[in-house]
Amino acid sequence: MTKRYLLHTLAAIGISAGISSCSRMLDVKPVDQVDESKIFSSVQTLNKAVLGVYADWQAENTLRTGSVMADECSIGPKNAGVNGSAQNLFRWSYAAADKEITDPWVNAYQVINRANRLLEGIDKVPATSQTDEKTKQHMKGELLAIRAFEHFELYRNYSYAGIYDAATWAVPYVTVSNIDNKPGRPTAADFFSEMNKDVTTALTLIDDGKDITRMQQNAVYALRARAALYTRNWGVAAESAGKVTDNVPLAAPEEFPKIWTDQSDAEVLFRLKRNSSSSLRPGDIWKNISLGVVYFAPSRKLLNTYDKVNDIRYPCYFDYDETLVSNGQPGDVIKKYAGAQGAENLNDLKMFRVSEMYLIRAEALLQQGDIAAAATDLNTLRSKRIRNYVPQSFKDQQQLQQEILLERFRELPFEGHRYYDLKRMGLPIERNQEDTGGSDGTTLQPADLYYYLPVPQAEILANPNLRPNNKGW
Amino acid sequence: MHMKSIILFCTALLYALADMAQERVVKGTVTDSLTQQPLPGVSIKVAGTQKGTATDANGAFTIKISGKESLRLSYIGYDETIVTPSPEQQTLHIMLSSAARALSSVVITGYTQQSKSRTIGAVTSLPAAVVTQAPVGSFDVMLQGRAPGLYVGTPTGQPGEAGRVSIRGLGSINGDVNPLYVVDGVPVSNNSFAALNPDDFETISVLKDAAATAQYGSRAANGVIVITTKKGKAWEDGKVRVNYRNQFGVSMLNSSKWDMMNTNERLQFEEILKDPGMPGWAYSRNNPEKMVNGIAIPKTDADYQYGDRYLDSLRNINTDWRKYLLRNGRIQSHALNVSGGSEHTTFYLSAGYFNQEGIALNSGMERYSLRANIQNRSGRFKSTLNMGISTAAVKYIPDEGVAAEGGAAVGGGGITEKNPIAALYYALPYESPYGKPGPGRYGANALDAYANTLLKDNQIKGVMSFKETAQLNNEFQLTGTVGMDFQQTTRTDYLSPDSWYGQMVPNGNQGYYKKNLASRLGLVSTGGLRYNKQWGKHEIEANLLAEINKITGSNFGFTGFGLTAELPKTPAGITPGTGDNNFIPTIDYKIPPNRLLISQIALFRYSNGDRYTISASLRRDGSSQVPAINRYKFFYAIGGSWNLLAEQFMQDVHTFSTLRLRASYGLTGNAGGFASDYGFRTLYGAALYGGSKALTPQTPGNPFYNWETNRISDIGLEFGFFHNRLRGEIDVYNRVTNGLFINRNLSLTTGFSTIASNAGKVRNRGIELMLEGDIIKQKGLTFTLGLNIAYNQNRILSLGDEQQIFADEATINKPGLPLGTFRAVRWKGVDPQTGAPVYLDKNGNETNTYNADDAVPLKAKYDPPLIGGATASLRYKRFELSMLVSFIHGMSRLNYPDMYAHSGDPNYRYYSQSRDMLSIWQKPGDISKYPGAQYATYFTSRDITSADYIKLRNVTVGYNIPVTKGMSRHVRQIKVFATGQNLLSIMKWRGFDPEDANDIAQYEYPMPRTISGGINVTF
Repeated sequence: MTKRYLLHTLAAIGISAGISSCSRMLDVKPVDQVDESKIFSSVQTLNKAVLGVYADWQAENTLRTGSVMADECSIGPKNAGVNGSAQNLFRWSYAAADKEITDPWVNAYQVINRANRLLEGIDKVPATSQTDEKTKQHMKGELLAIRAFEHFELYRNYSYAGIYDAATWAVPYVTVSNIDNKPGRPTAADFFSEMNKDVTTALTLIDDGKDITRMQQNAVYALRARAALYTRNWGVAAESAGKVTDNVPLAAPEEFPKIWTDQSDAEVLFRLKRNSSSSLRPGDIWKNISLGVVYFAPSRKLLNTYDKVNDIRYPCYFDYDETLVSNGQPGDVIKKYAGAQGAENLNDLKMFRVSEMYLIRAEALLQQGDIAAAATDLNTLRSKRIRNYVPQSFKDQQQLQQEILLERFRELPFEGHRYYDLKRMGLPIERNQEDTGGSDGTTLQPADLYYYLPVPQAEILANPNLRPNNKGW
Repeated sequence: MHMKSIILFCTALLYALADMAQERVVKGTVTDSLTQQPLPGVSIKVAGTQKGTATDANGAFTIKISGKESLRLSYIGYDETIVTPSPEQQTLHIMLSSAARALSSVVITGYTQQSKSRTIGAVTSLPAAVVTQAPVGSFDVMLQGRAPGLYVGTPTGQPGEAGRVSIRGLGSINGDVNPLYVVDGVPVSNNSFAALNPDDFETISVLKDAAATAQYGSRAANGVIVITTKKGKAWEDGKVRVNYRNQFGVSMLNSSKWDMMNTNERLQFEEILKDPGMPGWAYSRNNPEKMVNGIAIPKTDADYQYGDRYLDSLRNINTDWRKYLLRNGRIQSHALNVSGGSEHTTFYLSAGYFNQEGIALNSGMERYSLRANIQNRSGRFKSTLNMGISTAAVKYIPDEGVAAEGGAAVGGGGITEKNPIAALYYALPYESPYGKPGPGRYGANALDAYANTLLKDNQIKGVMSFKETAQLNNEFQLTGTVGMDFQQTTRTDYLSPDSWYGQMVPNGNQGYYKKNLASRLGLVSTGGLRYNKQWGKHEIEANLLAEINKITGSNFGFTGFGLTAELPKTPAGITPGTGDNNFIPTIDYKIPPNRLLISQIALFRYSNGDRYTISASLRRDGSSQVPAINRYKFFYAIGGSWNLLAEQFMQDVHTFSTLRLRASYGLTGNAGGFASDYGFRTLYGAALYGGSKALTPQTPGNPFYNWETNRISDIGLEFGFFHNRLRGEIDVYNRVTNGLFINRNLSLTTGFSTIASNAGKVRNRGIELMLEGDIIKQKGLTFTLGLNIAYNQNRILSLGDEQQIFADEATINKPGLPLGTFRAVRWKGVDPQTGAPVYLDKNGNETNTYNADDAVPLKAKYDPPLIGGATASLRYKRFELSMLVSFIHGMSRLNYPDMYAHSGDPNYRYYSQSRDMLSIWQKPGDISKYPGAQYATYFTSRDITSADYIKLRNVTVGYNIPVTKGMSRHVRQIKVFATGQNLLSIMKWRGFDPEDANDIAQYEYPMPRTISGGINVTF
């Protein structure tokens, strides 16, 4: 063995080591995922990312809180244990780390972050044609509208005050995608000035699109009307609601049932799509279909408010299932999101319907002192819903206000309204004894600890700037 | 040329003649060094010649030798021994010691191996016998209590599941804490140990300090476990050795604390609760009302009589659900191996079969394995081919918390009523085991699920390596290894369309059939140059190596719906999906692993006899899991050892028989802090909205992502007294992890909850002691006691800019505290006047409101600081007995099953409850540990309980049957044995078993007690 041979060997090893350290080999590129920079390469790709903002949007959270916290439902006797749902929310004994408190916060800010990421890059997207440019601007408006919508949902859930108070705390209005952002709580006044900016800009950009599975102009007006109602901005509420009612009529009585089987888009302004791959189905809030457990049944208090014979809503919203009774569960069921055989619990979420706009305008007009116009709106809606309805006159503002609230209770149950309505008016939550599922309390006063949801514990722990928490938490 | 040969031949002849002149006959016997049993068939050769013989049935032999020739004795399962008789010796008595006992003499550290006396790393070598004693699917769970500083937490009793193994404490919050496993030079993934046959193992070495592990660089941060498989042997009698071993046994529920109510107690409890939804109160004579549509009305006489009959029928049922949901499982294993060969080529061939039924119905595993290890040495080339192929079918219980790549998630357990172990806790004693399934009928539902589901993994695993060395000259050697670890797991998940749950499948209501294929291929290629020179007492060894590690895989599957009941458990039963039948199948796809590690390695060692050894290693790693700016990292270690007994000044000190000091310092690392291989990039993935394609952000990206590094220093002392009858090792170490991988908590307003980043420092320091003593060592009787104990102190030194990090609902990481410190709202007690729970708020004031914000760190953690094991072994003539006791101290866990079994709150009172709950608070003045039934249950400090245990983990007895002269022609050795695993536990824990891999007890599959026996025959 010669020394030269050895040197050759050593050199060979050295070279192979050199080659093997080649950096390019180590730059293993993902093939199953797309780098963020590519998202902004074309309007078409951007459109997919905008659809991605809708993809994991779980508006079901609002349905749950709006209903379970309030007096719309009673707890199913088998809604117990580890596979139960929202039991503590229903019994007003929840904790800030509970899933039902955390989920609405997490999901809304996830949607907001997705919109923010796209808004930050959207101006870079090359538009090759006029149509492209128009689509791009429309999508910008759409993203701003989604951002405003989701912030408002957060406000409804976690605001410090019930009755609007410009000086108390709202929730962070997030407009950046920076992951190290640890925002504090702005006042409600600041929050709504940010939100209105987004809504106003959105209205200048967004078209009157026809695809109501995405946010369109009517939905943005509807959002403005709803937000104005909560902030007691009666003029804007009435005006914005009017824009929508001018564009979209109420559903005819024969059309109305089809809304709930997704066969008709009548009076729907924005519909969040669901299909068999959706991780959460709206009906999952009321029933666990894979265990056969009814989580929540309609409350007797709610059922008793309807004229069961003439009100066309009753058979659309409720059903009676004998087989459940044999399993020791209540027979009355919430039908709004029952889905179909083989696709139970599966329906699209109706995020805005025109009927709500009539009720908003009625309330806004009433608050502005126009009792007659308010009564007209209420009667218009009722005559579409109740067979043989004779328009009523109302003796005073207070009675009409109560009738409007009652109509909201009947028209919009399980659509994410009842708890928020009571909260924005500073009213107690009152349940009938038979709806309490055996727990002690029938009334939750605005002064009680559990009346206001706390900011989720996970946020408090990760973000020290987010203080104060809500009253008592 | 011709002339030369003749001269050579003549010279040789002359020498031979000279030798012959001094030739003499030596007689002797060969016995086992411990049992003193004569060993028949031992091959005896005269070293350096072809002359040889073998012992007869009595272990006796006669051989002719000359001069100073020595004898080389070899026998299967024993160490090769060389004896040089003095010229005047006529008879010899030679004792062979069993290979397992002497394995510690050679230390295999992966790329190199050397004698124990020249090793400077902290390495514990274990004989492979420890993992084959009891029939266990995944060998790693047998290591608990065997090596100081090695902790194995078994997450579940599910056959075939791997444990969580940590060496010297937890060094990472989010990175992998499992050590690197290397089998015959090939890194293997730890989630498929079920498919490895431990009968093929020869040695298991646990590498703990930097000197031993730094050569593995970035994969060695948590230590390395090096396994070698058995090699063939050229037996001197030219014959092959055949060994057959079988084992039959049974596994059953272990000693658990189980105190659930029986029917009478349950009905009494329901009367206490006064819940009209429960029969015990609804039909009670003490309850004057009945509920109709939520409204209470007075009962009639007929109602009272109906109630009496109803309650009587319930009292006739008293179901112990353990009898229906658990069983005694049978176990059997067979292992056959053949080894043999010639001077050039040796082989080891083996086949194995293992079948274990789990104690939960429908669970178990079955494994077939084959192995061929072939070695050839000719001229300057040495080739080794090791091939192990196996297939395992593992059946799981449903919903036990199942991980992606097969097997229960580390931690196991699943808090869902579909988990049959949860159903065991939930099912009421008055529920009939023959009842129909329905909502809330947990027992019947679990039985229905047992009968109508299948959850099964079919694994194929191949671990293969080919190693070639070429001796260039006396000093230089070229070496190359190519290896692969291939595994493929096919998962089948089936739910019958006729079953209770099958009729409620959201898509289609007619069951589902799910199939998933996950494959993983790990490739390693190492090549380089080795230099070894010895002169006088000096020895230098140096290695220059380059290595590539690549891991790729695939992972996809489908779920079909609308099953045809006549075609169970096959995809043929799936009804194709159309727009109108709701049976549209779903496609499952997971992003498969794809990563690359490129390394250059330099190893150096210098030994001065057995006196001093110094070694150094340097390794440069480049990983695709790290962004380009931080891609390369150097790792190194230096160390030395000093044998004090070789020194002049120790010449007169006779107290010690061994005294060796070693020390090392080095740096190792870890690149895999992200769950994904591309975690540092900002990436979007495919999604769906409505019927349209969509893209959603999946990882926020971290461009500053870097390596996690460990600085480890270690000082060790090895000692022996009384001719090593008392021997031991003591190690002190300090390990500081820098750039700690943590999932930093983000404000949820950012759309993400955490991001993997490098921040902070964790220190593990501790002391390890291993002691072993031969208490009795006489002919025919030996008794050895061993003890290993390790204390590790874990402390977070910093978390970068973060004040605290939360991993889950119950633990917090905070500087100054150990990793995995529990955090909870403090429990104070029950207010005797109101029955309300009393908590302590953040400031220590009593409150009745449970506010998650009042949680504070507790003095409890889930990684045990004190771990150890004690062994005893006794050999008396042909009998042998060994036992292992293992213990941990200082571990706590959140016990959810126990909490739900002590909860009168409306959410959990429908579950079966512990007998303790009969003393629930009922009226003002009651002093009770359990609050009034109207109060919601939240976990508090009192649910975080001690998980310490002392376990009699293993007892094995064996008897060597005498081989008579007649038999000895056919059989060389017969041994019968019996073994028991998990025989006894001493614990405070309430439940089946405190042992687990994580911090939260859910409804884990209970660890079984197994008792088995078998026979081991060598032909």
